[in-house]
Amino acid sequence: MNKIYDFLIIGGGVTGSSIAYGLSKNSNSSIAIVDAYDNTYRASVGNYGLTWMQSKGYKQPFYARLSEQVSYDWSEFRNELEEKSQIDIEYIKTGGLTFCHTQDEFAKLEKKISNLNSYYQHDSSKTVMLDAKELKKIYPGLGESIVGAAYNKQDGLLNPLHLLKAQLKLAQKQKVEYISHFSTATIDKSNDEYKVTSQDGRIIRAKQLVMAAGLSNMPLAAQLGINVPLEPQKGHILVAQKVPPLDLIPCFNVRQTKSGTLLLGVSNEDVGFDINIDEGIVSNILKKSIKILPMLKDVNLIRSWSSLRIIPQDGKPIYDTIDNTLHVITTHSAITLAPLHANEVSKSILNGKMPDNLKDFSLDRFNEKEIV
Amino acid sequence: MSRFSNFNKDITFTFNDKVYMAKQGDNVSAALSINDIPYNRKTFDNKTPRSSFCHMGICFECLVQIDGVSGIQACKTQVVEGMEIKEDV
Repeated sequence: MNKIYDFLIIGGGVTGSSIAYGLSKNSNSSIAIVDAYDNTYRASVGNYGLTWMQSKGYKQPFYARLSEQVSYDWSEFRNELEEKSQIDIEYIKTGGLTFCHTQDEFAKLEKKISNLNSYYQHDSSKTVMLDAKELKKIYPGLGESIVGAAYNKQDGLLNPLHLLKAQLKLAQKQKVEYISHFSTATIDKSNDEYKVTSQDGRIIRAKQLVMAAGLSNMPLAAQLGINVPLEPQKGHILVAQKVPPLDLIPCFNVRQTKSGTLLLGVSNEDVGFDINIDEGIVSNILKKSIKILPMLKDVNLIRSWSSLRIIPQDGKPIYDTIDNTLHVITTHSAITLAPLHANEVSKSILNGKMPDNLKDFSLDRFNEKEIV
Repeated sequence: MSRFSNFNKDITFTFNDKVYMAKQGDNVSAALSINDIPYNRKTFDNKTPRSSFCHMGICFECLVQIDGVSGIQACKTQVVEGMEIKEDV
């Protein structure tokens, strides 16, 4: 194996596959993407499939604006993927809701939303607060105890498995080599070349490296002396049986897939690298979901699982290029940001850097403190 | 094994208003299969037919309507005399 790829992408989840698709769409470079095992800690197995801007970028204007900008790119991105792959990613701009169970929650959310709204470039991006009466008009079946909700019409949902499948299918059609069961153990850099070795001793060489390995970006980047501060955030997802279409506007507590399955969430737990099921959390998710949509009490629960999502230390995405050849991408929002990754970010990587308008998301921000 | 025992008596049930026979002790999923009933519901999105897949309560493909109640797992429900079963909606 003397082949030296132009690009090697580490991580075959949603982010890695967006980049694989984007790089191969815009160049004839030789590209490989490696993916580890099913039991790897993957954020991609625990996402809820929402494209979501309304809660992102509190007190972080650049992140709020980035989320806003991408929300306008989704319809075109869906059309592009579906046309080329013949896979329906089931994206719909349904709008999105965040429910408030108490007046106190409502007041706090209203404050947060007004901060976020002040950052957006378009009035049409703004989140509005709805009281229970207004909410009932757009959310039939709403439980009596719900005080109100935040509503943003830019938010939406999709089928994350179909998104992943479409991106990988197109990348492979564009000659990207997809290598599975490759769990990256070591990365060495020498003579303008990266040597990546798997746990079972396979070696891949590449001129440039894209690190899209989720939580593993932290230990892998550390091997090259780069600090990528990330934390795992545990989240449970519950799957209920299929029911006829309810035309629900999605929220983190309940959404319906196109096939009728109900997905319930959501939990955000700071418990380290642990993916055990916690019955207490499952029970809380069920109680809250039933308060929002009482008809759920008659629906069978099929299964539940938990996974680890990624939280960069300050919550903001990380985009950085080191030595023009090492590209680090870690975000909390691989689904929401997929159009950005497949287009601007990929095109810019082909020019050996991250897009200029993503400077605010470079790794420099974590190192400034050390100078003091 | 109950299906093959001589001690089990025949019972009748209906599926979509047509009368069929089964053995007492059969579950609904088995009763439909033995009568060559090809599917018990159609998917919500593209209306493709579905029948029992796992036969052990996991897949939720075998949902039927029984005596007016929909969303019942055929594989986890015993068929009884006079049961009115319908394709689930």
